Formats: sequence, C-alpha cells, structure tokens
Amino acid sequence: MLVLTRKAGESIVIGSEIRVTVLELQGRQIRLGIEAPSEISVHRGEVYERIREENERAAQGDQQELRALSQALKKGSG
Amino acid sequence: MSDLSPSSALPALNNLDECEPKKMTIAAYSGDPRMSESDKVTFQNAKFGEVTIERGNVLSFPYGLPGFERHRDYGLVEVEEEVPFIRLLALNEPRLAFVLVNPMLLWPEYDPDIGQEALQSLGIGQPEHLAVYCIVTLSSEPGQVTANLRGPICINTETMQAKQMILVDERYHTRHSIMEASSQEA
Repeated sequence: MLVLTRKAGESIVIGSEIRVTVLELQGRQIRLGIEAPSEISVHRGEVYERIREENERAAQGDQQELRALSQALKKGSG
Repeated sequence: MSDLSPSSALPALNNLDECEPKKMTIAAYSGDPRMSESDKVTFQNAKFGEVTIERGNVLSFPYGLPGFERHRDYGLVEVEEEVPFIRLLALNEPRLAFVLVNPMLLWPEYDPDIGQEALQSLGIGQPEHLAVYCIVTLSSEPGQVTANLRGPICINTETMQAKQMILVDERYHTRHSIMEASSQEA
C-alpha cells in the first residue's frame, strides 16, 4: 500500500482523472472530496462490502427452484 | 399485484418452456427493429443446460457486479412458472446465475435515488429507458428469501447495458423479506 501524508486542502491524483482532496479534519474524522469521471463508482468501503457479500450469497442460491416461491407469492398477495 | 413500470420498458423476455429443459427455442424478439435480425446467443447453464436467447436479451455489465467483476455478460431468461422472478444467467460461467425481481411489484413505494451521474454512466438520456431490478437471495425457507434494495440493477433498455448501483439511502438495505412485502401489499 502506498502511504502518503497530506494536510487539509491538499490532494492526491490517481491516474489522470481522479483527484481525492482532504477537505477538513475534525477529531477522528476526515472529510474527503473525490472528483472522478461518472463511470467510476465511488462508495464508502463498508457499504460496498455489504453489496459484494450479498451478491455472493445470492449467487449461491441461484439454481434453486423458484416455482414454489412464485406460488407462495401469488397466494400471499392474492 | 400492480404492474408498475419501470420494468415494463424492458424488452419482451425469453420465455422458456420447462417441458424441454435441455434444448430451448425462443420466439423471435419483436422489440427494437435494429435487433430484429435473428441474432441468437447460445450458452451453457448448470440448471437449464444449453440455452439459446435473442441477443437483445443479453445484458452487459461493463464493470461486472461487485464480487463478480470478470463476468460481464448475462442472459435474461424468464420461466413461466417462476413469474415474477427473472433469471440472470452468466454467459461465460455455467454455474453463475442470479435471480432478479422488479422491486415495484413488491415494494410499490420503492424510490431509489438514481443520480444523474449514475444515469450518465449508463448513457441513459430519457427516464423511460431506465429499468430497475433487484437481486434476490434465495433460501429453502420462503420467509428467508430477501431482495437487495440497496444495490439495485439499473438497465439502459436501449443498449442493454447495466450497472449495480449502490444507494446512499439508509432506508434500504441488502435483505428485505419478500414474503413480508408480499403480505403487506395484500
């Protein structure tokens, strides 16, 4: 891992299109500003991890039968 | 159940006849005239065997899905007995598949904030070209079947390019019970 020290107001540039700026320091929290092209997704790490984990769980059940569930749904909302 | 858009914008899906699980032929795709050439895609799937679909029902995720970045192309397949669920079958990995559902059927109040940048990244200029689906996590226990409303799949129905969005909205999480939603709606 590349480790850099930055002060508030300073930034780092990743590639030619991504810029991360340290906006503010408040106790144990740091506010970051991220500029990136719209096709680059930027997420909080823990939320991204939750989505990734759920995708992995979802992929494991993929070959199951869906007919019973489809029936149950129809009854539930019938 | 109410049949709300946005999914109604999705092209007619392949309807697989389960009587012939090994070899399936799909009726001609009659949506976008640019795709009306009988341009079919055949791939292998662990559950369904050899599957042939219209190219118009191939969904491409330019960046894959989180956790599955290397699998970019999927076939959208609808089995009649499985309605309202839709299968998302990876073209290049027979064992990789997901199940999708139109969230508006179960959660009519669902209101994902798909930002302008996200729409741009999919090249969506008009709202009617956006379709939203959610990934279902199955379980042998129907009460445990959930849908991921935090990471909806957004589809540009013109180009069939798709992306899993990650919402900032804390009202939605990754495991919303489908049976609960269904009973509340009734």
